Amino acid sequence: MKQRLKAFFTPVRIFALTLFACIILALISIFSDTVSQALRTGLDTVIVPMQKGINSLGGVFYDHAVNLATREELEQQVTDLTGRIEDLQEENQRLAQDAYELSRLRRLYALDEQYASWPKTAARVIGSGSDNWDMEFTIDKGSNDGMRVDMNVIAGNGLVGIITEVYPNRSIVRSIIEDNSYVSGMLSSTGQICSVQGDITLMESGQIRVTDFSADTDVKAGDEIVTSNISDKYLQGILIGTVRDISADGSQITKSGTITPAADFENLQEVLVITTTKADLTGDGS
Amino acid sequence: MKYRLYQIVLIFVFFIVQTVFVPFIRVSGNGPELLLLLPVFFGFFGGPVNGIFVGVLAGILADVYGGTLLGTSAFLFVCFGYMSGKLLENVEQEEFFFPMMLTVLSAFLYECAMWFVLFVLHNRIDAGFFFTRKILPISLYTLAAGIALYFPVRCLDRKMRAAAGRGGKRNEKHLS
Repeated sequence: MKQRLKAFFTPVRIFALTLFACIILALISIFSDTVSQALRTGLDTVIVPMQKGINSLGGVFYDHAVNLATREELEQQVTDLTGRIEDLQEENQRLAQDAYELSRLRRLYALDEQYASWPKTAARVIGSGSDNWDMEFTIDKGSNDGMRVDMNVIAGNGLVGIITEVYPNRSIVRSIIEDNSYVSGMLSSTGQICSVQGDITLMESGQIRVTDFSADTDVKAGDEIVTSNISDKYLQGILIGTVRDISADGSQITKSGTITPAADFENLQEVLVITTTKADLTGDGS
Repeated sequence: MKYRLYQIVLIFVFFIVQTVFVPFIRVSGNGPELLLLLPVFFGFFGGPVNGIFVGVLAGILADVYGGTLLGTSAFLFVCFGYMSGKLLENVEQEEFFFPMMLTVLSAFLYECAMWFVLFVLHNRIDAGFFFTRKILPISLYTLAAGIALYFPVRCLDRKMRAAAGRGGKRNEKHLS
């Protein structure tokens, strides 16, 4: 029996059987997520601790390298920043007055809840997609830390992406510069709606595409784009980026162009996850 | 058994390096596909069955953590492992040029397949951009990684083979 089994398993037959198994696996995962979910959860117990460990090791070296930055650079920065502090103090005073007025007006309109600052939790980026074709990345918090699908992720003051998959100890974030990402945005000054789409041909230069501005929109380079009020996944008013260039489309019905994102995707190490989802605010969804 | 365990550990090590370190050495968004090297190398070192074994494990790992459909990379990696084992069956073990040729060919086919699955099927062909900015750079980068890693992996493999009491690929051929 053993002999016959051995005679049956020639390399060609093993090859054919493995390919067949791969196709079956693909077919199963088209129709249900259970296999891939189970595999991922199982592998996570091995891989996430290893990734975390290596990342913290890398962090030590990185910090050391940063400490070695030249003195002149730092001094230059100090002078620059002192100048900026003065500007900002002045601006801050003005804004404080505005904020006071705003809160008074909001109370009048009973809009407090919708605009209140959202609860956030910090997470560390522990890995990026293992292939060259997408910009997904992994953060070190999962369902055990209260992460849920569709939570918005920001870094600095700009939108980074949205959680698409959640596992016990980690979550996958799809960034807004990824090719299949779509965000409904609006011009912060006038509220004109537009679409913000990632594009692989622009990924290299760190830009994202903005389309569907109506032709009469008064938009120019430097204008800020924020997430719109009509988006069903993204909370309203998160800064996406600033318009880099814009031009009318061939049809003369719409305008499109590119945006420089506010978040720095090159050096993404720590991100903030907003633990309120749009579904929570609108009341549909759990 | 001990030898298989070593292969599994090596696959995990390559995977961790791929996800943690490769993002830092990407050039304009393109990095080497380290996991792809393993089936090609092991197909050459140990014959087609070895290539298939390493290919299916590395491929499933790449699929589970990558964005594509589960089974796509596994399918391609198995093909590369088998191809490497079969085509290089009679090539001297000391040879360097042929496995490298096969590495760059596999990388090229893999990236073409990714382009096909992710973009051509969605009616976004744009061949000029994808060939010059994604497929060729990634293939060459993978080749560079292959050149750098070939001798360390071969040296380690020979040690492990000796420790596990396994012969070269001719031995394997009789077994299977």
